[in-house]
Amino acid sequence: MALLTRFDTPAFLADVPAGSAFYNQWSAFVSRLIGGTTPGTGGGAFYDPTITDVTVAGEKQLVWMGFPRDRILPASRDNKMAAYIMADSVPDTRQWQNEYFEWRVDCDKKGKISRLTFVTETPEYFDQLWAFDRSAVVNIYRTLVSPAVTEADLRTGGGSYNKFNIWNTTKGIVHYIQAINTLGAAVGLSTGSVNVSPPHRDNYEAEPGLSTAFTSVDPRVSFDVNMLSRKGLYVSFKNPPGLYIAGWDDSGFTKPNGTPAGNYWRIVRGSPGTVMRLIYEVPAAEGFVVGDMKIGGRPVEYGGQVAEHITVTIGGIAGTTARR
Amino acid sequence: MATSKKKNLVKMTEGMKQLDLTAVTSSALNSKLLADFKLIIPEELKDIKVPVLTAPVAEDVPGSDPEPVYDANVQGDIQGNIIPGFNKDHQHFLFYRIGKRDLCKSFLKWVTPYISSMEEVLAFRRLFRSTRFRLGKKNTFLCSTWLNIAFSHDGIAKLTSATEAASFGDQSFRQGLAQRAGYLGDPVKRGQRGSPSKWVVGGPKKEADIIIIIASDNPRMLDDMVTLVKAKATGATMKLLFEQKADTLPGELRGHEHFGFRDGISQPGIRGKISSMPGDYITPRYIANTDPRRLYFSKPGQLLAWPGQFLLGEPRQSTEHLYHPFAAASNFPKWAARGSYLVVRRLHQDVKTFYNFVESAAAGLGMNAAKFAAMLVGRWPSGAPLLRSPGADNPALGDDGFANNHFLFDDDTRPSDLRAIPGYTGDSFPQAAADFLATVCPHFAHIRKINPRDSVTDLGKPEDNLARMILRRGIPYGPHMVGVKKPSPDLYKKERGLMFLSYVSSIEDQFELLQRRWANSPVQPNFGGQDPVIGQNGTSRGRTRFIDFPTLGGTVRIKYREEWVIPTGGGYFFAPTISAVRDVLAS
Repeated sequence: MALLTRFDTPAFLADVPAGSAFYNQWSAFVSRLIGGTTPGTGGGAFYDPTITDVTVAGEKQLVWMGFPRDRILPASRDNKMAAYIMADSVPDTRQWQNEYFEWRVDCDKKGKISRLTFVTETPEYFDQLWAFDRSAVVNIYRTLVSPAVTEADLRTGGGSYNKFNIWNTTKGIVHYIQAINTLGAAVGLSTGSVNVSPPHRDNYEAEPGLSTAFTSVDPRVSFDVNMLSRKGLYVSFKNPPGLYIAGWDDSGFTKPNGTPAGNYWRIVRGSPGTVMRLIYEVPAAEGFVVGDMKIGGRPVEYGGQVAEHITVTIGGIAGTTARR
Repeated sequence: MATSKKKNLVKMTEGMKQLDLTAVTSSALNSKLLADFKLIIPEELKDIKVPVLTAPVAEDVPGSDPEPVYDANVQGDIQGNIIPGFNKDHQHFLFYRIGKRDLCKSFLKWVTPYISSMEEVLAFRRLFRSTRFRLGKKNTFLCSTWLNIAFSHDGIAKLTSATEAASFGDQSFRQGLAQRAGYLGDPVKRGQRGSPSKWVVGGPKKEADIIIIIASDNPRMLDDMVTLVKAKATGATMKLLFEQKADTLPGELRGHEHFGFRDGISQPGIRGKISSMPGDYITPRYIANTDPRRLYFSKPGQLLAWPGQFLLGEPRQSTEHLYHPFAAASNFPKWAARGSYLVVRRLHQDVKTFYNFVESAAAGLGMNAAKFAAMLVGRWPSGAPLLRSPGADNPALGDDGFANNHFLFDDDTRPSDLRAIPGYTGDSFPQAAADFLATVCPHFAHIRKINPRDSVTDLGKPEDNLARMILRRGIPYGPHMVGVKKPSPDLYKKERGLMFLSYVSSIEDQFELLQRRWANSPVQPNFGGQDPVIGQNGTSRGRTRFIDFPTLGGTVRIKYREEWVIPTGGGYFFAPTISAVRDVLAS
């Protein structure tokens, strides 16, 4: 595989004009996140494909459930409703939505769910873009959330980007705010899973030491990256590095009259394969809202009931020989 | 083996190689594989001898957590098709609607002594195995006839009260199969083939309150028992909604399903003991003390699960640890303890359409059709796993119960240290090599979809996989078509398929999860397309499915629309203990 000339923006987003210096800035930022982990000899390491050339043996999409598994397992194994309630709670911090997947629930005047917005965008992207061109960030917010957004709404007292701004918390959602949902954390989880000690011969031997987290994503990434690296493979992210919505399953979603629901999904940021913002909302012409629907015969009362049918992914590549 | 001479039909579409078979209909094709069954099942399969599994030495597994002991009284109370399973060649399923409540209770009082227990089935199994060992032959001429029973939510409500039935914590059980059909990806439009409206049982106004399972080694004894039960039930004003006779396929196809593949190889081992005697486990343990895998495998490839995964109120499998238990569930009425939820699905198998797809797809790829079919399943027809025999079927491997399930997906598989096993000379087949890129056994392959083994999944660590396992008790129904040299048009039209039965302690977290979350999904537990055997696409995007097929020239996405496993009935039931039938439901 030829060296990457640079890391592209997540989902190849083009929030600033082509040729802008921002694109190199973003690539350099991702390289710094990976930094210091480029491989030496012998393989089994995480590498930066903009620095190191690797003969790619294969690609692997790591996929996991968007709904926070640790709300269900092990404690709420017999009470899933409690997990739904918990996962939807605390919308100002979305503190329980810890699978690199966050959502917002909008309700109508009757208190029924009218729209669900799911995101996988990272705060780092907005930090970087803010530092480069604040107006670009404001434009994104205006497009995605409300024309009423102002630059002042998005900055801290010190002038830096405020990821906890009202349009990303109480009045809307644009990107992750949950404490551990960052691109840096995802990179750290991946790079930290290579060459762990003691080495394991298979995934059964790896547990419980490799990942004690109750989430889906942590063991998913840790086990898979470690599995590749213990074979002496060089591991990295597939370009463009990012967290994406992999799929959504609306089997068994029904209208109030019991017939199958239509395709009420809308991709708002990204494209199939690299979706980063997904909305579930019934078109007004249908005459009902999400909260009037059922899933498998059960009324939709919480966003988590839909979130559990959505998956998140990060793309990985693994190679055999490295050349600097 | 046949090799297609047809032109490779793969085209490059939108950056990915594609083979679009969505316009192919079954009537347009004729299957060479079906016409010449030697292409599916090698001749030598007929002569393979079944290895004899006898109990290993009497010793508890050192280092393992204490396991619950089910003494004779408890064994005598648990229904035998749950543990260890009837596994009879001839079975008959009766689906009833309750008529007059009191008369139904009288029927239950009458039938209770006929309900076969775990103790009875285990005793027969011991006798059968020792006889087979002594004779050195498959056929022992031993015979028994057994009966089990299970009740739907509505059936329990009729026999107790709505409040009592509502106290079952499994919401899917309370809702019933038909209401969950869409969630399972089944067709749901009224009148559509496969939708509950077309089901022979379990659809609207056809929901059964009671299912009675009668099983025997002898068809005539089975018929006698069925006749007796039906007469008694009719006298109790119970309405027979539907009945299904089912038999294992004949000859060398015994143990195979209608597509020709050996079924039921990979079952979880159940933890627990049948006495406090050392080593007296429900599932015998064959891994030597020198091998740390003794803590989680009963024999090579058979993972051990805690009994609460199948019996309510017993210690369950941890979702976070390979061999530690998790607390028992308590969300059910007290009398339901040690009972099990029973999922019944009558699945029609369109054998011709399946093999038409196999042949047209293989031809499109320019590859051997039998190998293509094996890659859909993950095993060869004999049961030999692709990972241990990638090039061709190996019937001896398929028949070796210590070898045919011993393989990992993500890493090289190491030989197991086994205890001394009388009559077994060891696993000398090539061990499986790591297939983490799924080029040998693809991610979509049936066995990789529904049993990811050591792989991590969309739900995280491989330990979670253990809590998803089910006890499968299925049996084919209808006359076989594979292996028939010149099948008549009438034979094509005959109903055939699988009576799928599985026992679980959570319908939603076990059976439904396997079907919806993994078999039906093109991206879960790993990217690669839907399970081409049982996967369905019930989404708003239409029923077209795909598989990302690995070839030397890169991945080819094969899109298809035809369906060959079609739900035609079933129900969600609960199989209580025998004492619960007698003291609660019949009282």
